Amino acid sequence: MYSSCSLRDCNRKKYCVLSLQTVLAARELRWKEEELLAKSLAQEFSGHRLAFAFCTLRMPASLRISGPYKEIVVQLRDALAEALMEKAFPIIASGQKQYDDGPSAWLASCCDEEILKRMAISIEEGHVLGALGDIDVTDAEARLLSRRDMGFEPRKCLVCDNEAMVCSAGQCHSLLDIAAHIEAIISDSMALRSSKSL
Amino acid sequence: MRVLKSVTAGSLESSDVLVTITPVSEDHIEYDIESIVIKQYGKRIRQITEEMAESAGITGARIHVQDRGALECTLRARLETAIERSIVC
Repeated sequence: MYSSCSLRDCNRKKYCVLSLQTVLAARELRWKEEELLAKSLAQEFSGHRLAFAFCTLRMPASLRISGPYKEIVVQLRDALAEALMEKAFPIIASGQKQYDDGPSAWLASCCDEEILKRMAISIEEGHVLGALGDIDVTDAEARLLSRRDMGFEPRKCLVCDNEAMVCSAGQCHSLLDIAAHIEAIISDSMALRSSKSL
Repeated sequence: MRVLKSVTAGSLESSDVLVTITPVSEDHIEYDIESIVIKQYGKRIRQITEEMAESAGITGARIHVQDRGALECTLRARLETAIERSIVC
């Protein structure tokens, strides 16, 4: 149950409903904490080129705080950590936190931020759960790197083939429609996992 | 009402908007609008920003809007917060 919901509400509804105020306050808090974290680790490891990856869920807030999806950010962060270790980039710190609008997992690496961003995009596009995560990458000054600036295509919508930002800003799809597509992605990932374990 | 200090409201997360207001020496308001959906919603974002700044009656400010695909209600809430923060001592 979400901390500000009543038990009665949670028993009645499939998904929690968050106020706009709660979502906006959580986003601003996370943004400020990420900036502080990046700057404090950059100070602690001065002399190293650091880059940071922050993973959140790419879905409406009422779905983000639903139990079944919480572990996805950790799985995606861990997949990124594995990719970094394969290339011998050291990970100097990592963590996770539950905010009022959903979970977040992060890592800091001694790595060029553009390399980390490319790896994050590979996870978002290649991992079986990648479509459900948003991996923001910043440099040591907490400056965000964008796909567009690096010449990558914008992300596609979870439901249709249009640009995700256009669908999201225009609220083009219903919550139930989005939830159905998320469930399908999770089912596919579970099927893939069980086929690998056979 | 004159803007007194540099403030921000919001974030650069997806579906959010970062509004930065800074004081300028002239009395007018300067607008700087950036959006990843500028083609589709650029005019509306500018219109809302100008409307809210005018109805709040602020002067002597540069308003920088960095939109990452925010809903209109999110843009309005971030602008309202930034304006409030900019005029409080």
